[in-house]
Amino acid sequence: MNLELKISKLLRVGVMVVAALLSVGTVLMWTSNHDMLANFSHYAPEPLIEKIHWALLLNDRGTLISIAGLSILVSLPILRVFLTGILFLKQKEYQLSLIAMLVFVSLLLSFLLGFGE
Amino acid sequence: MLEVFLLISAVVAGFLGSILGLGGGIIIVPVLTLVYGVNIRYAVAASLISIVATSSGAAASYLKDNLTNLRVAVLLEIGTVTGAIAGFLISAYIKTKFLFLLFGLFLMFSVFMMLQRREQSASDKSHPWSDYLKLNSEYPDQKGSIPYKVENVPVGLFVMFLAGIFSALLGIGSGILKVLAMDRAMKLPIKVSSATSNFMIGVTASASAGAYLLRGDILPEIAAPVAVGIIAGSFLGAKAMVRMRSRHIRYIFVVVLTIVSIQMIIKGLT
Repeated sequence: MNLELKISKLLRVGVMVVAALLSVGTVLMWTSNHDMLANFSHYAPEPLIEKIHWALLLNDRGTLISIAGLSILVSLPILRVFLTGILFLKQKEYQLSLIAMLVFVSLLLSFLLGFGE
Repeated sequence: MLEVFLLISAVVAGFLGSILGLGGGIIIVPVLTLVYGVNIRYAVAASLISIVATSSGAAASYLKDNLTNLRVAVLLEIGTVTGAIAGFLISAYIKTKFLFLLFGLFLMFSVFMMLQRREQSASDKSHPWSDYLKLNSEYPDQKGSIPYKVENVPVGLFVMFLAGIFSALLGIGSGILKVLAMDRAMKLPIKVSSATSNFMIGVTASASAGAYLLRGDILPEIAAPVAVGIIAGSFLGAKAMVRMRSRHIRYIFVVVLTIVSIQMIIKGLT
């Protein structure tokens, strides 16, 4: 349980880093004349890869920093599940380790689905 | 100016979410759609991001009290994650109107559950899977350690699958369904199921949030300020909770959330 607590504390540090990135990103987006709430009533998603591509071309730091923050954030629970799996393995809890790894693989799979759509 | 209001709304949503024990998602989605006119799909995706943030940030405090059953959490995450994948896949085929309707109905159900008194139903039977995976455990109480057994594991897993679908479709943590399954079906002690549910929510939400991020449903312009606001708001809420009498606030918000749920349902029907 102690090691699991350490993993969770690591996660909290991760969330703090993410909060800092998203704050900076938000302020940069606001100051660079983004149309923050314009045209968001119409649903027309632009894949993440394209978003990054355009932000790089336009040197749009606010968007890039925000995307970095968002990407780290969604990866944090995956990291936690993976580390929990390793932890169970170390404790020779093979069944639970296998279950944690199954959750880990399912999470990776769910991310891949976002590419395919 | 609208941007500043958006940030403030997110702080308030995070604050209320943590005080009411509902999570920010069920509050921020109606705010984004009804007040700011944001498309519900973008609102759902932004909400999931903030759920991942608050749940991951708080996981350490849930573990510290020794109430979280980590083994149960890991097993049930199989149900919620596969459910979230199913929800993400279904979402593309569901009309916006139906999402409003579903959200309104789920919100109404949540309000109803808020008014219910949670009953403690300890069990002395244990499911074969609980024995095999050593899910039965004990939790600290004033009188010392109290042992408990875990029943109906397959039913719990099935409800978790449904909770995962709702989470991905509506941008919520589905804590209410999770707690319901653990309290009523699996007969976990109330404190244990609350802590375990909160611990699991981040993993559930990240399954669909990751997919939505790659597909482009998560707009940095909305998701970033909303996440910052909700993180700040729920931090303040956790601090304030000790000092406030939450029962009075609950009754006020039962009324407010009922009105909001009716508005969401009307939007889904017209």
